[in-house]
Amino acid sequence: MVENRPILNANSHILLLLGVAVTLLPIWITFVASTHASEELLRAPIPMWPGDQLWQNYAEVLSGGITGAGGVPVGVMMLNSLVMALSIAIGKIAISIIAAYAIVYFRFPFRMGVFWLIFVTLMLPVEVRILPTFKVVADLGMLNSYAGLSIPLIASATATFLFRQFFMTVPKEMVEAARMDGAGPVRFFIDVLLPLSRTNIAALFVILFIYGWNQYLWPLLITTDESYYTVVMGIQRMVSAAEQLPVWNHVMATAMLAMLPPALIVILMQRQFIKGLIETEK
Amino acid sequence: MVAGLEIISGGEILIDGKVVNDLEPAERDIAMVFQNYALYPHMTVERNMAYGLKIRGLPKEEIAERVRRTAGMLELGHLLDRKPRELSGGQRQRVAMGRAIIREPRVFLFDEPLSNLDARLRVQTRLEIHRLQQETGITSLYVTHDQVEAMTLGHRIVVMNNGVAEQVGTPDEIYERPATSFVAGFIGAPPMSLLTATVCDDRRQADIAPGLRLPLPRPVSPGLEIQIGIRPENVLPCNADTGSAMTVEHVEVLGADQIAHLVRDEARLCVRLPRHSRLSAGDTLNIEVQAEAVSMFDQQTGRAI
Amino acid sequence: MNSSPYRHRMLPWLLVLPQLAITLVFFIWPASQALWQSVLREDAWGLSQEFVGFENFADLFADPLFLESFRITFVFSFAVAALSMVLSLLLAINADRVVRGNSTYRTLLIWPYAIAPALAGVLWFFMFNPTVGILSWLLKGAGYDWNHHASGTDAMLLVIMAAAWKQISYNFLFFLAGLQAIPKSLIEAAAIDGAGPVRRFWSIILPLLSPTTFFLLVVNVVYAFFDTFGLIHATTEGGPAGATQILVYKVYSDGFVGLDLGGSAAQSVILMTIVIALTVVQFRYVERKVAY
Repeated sequence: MVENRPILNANSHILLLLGVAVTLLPIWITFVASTHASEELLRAPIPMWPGDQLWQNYAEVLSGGITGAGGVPVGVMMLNSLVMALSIAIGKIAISIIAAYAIVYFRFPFRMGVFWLIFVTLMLPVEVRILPTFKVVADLGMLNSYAGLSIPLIASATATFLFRQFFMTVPKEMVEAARMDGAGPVRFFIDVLLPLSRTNIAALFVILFIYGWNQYLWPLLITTDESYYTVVMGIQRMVSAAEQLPVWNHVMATAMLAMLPPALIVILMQRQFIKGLIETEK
Repeated sequence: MVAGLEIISGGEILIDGKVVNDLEPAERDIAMVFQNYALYPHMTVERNMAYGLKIRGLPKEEIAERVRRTAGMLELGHLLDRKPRELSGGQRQRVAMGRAIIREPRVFLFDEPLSNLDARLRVQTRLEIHRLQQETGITSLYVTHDQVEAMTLGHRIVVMNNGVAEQVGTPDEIYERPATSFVAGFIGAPPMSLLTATVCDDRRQADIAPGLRLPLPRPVSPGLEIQIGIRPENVLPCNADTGSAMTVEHVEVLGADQIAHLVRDEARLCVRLPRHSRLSAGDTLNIEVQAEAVSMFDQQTGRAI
Repeated sequence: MNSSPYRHRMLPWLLVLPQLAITLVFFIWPASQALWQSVLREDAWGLSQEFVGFENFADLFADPLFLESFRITFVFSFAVAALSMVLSLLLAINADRVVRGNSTYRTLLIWPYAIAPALAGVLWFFMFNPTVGILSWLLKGAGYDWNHHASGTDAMLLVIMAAAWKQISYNFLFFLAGLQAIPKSLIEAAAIDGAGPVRRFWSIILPLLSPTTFFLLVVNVVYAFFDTFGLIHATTEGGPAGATQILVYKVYSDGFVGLDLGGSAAQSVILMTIVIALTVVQFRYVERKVAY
């Protein structure tokens, strides 16, 4: 900044710390609640400092689940979430990158038509067409399956668009040089374009993994079989149960577990995350 | 187009007497050096050079041997493990050449390979390209906007204007006998002075301004309007009684010599003078021109007469 | 690309095929189904269908519940957008000011982005829980009897806070990037002209930030419209008495719980229209880069 006034700086730090505190407070309370025995969470005020039940609570939910909420072990739900998030992230990247490659590097009839058809999906979030989409998936017999959980969410205009933008910045001499070297379309894609897209792929992966992990409505609709529950939607059942039973410690432990993988990815891949976030919204 | 990257609008392209219109770039046995080099940024220098050979399925030992030889020729030996972004402009340019040379193609294409280099490096690399071309003896097609590159490197030059070949010839032919007024006005620094002239009744001279008359190399029909071109070094200062007087408009000092821009009415001429001529703007200079040094062009078509 | 790219007939189609197939089967087809359903009415047993034109839409706009849901959606969306954007702008400006600790604050502030809206809802639901919640206990001490099971206002405030909290990190990142893109020389020039920090903020920084602000407004509204379904479903379930029933939630509950296919489809169509309108507006403004 222009002036360097210590008081203003101190003000800024105080404000920022306050902001951080507000942001972290819900997480702290959740964490604390997940480390106590259920008896301590019956009535307010609840403890504000961690208790000694951490391992016990987490071990119980991971393997046992909560009775009254289907009783599916959270470990199973986490695995379902992981499968779903990974298939969505990898699937989206794979089909988008080859579609973008076709659109940028080939001339074929209806090329722009295809592009716009894909682009339109950008405007149709699942939430606005749930019923008919649900029917399609049901008719295809994909209810209660990993395929049903992930495939309908794999088409992505955003990723296709991002890769298209990136490919258009690759100098055209690159493909010309590759053709001179005798590389056909498949070799050029694998040997040159794919390695050049590495950072874009990583950035997208972070965003899409979070997107997939955090899906709620879709798994809610197409899983009636509890063994396919994902952790983010499964927690809703537990909250309803917790209104009757004193299991808040287990619910909060599950919440911590549900937050952990995406939060870790954001923190560990912060650079790619920010790049991905800012580029996908351009 | 020659490389096969663009679709041919008409005619045939022959390499070694074989029509290659419908062949893929790689099948034409051509190598190319791009203006922006187009090196694969994620591959090391070594892999950049070896990529084309690897696709052709050459045995590993031969690839390694060729890389070693080419790198030696271009003094790239110590850079083989670097990535393109760790190289200077001149080094990248050499890698781009290496990638072309290593293939031992039948034809080299150079697409303005020096235009991204600074002036000093450009001269140095130009000499190197010249040396390499002579060592390898491979036919090369060199596209450039820089006429010095064209004049120094070319055995035969094609001067292109708006997609049309204006003249094909050796550097000497092009310099001494430009086929069109475009070539005349393009080649040379400064190029020929082009003047509008009317042929006099004696058919051996032409008026370029009232009282300013120049000789013609061949007789032309009198009264005809033509364009004439004169190289600055062919304009000679002389005494007042033999030459025509022109006013000095300004003088450019180039070091080895000077270029004086002369004017008389509408007529403008450049003249190359030795370094120590003491001329300045406003002075009057008497000049004469040898008839053989004058080129004549049709006023409408621009073709040489 | 001017030069002719690869000349293959089948390969490009093979490459776009997966994307195209999924788009057609799971996006275009259901969306057109929704359009078609929205002009049909099914009898109570689902045996016969009747073409009713725009009657479903007319019914909707005559239905006070739907209009109420519309109003709730707008209140909710703009409250979330405003609350979250103001807070994150405040934080971003201060993070941009301080030289030291800049990236530490960023790390601490951005990761709530990773939290699913449904989970954000659960966390706040727990903090405000009338029996065990720490915040509701504090409020009780201050004389306010918080109960989001009974009070529509409390429920609404709860979902607004949870939704805004989750979105702070996203807005913060974009505001910070926007602030860092403002040339320092402009701010220095203003300082030399005698403009103090507050003046500089209103006359220079905010106008230069207007593209970012506009973009974030659209993104936040879209987020509040659609992505908060999980948040509401996991906490208030649209209640109490429909006080937090935003449109997306209503489409779901009418369609899956109420089994009113035509009505639900008509609502879907309305929602789609809103999304498309928002997207178009966003693109037009992004293209014009928002005049300062």
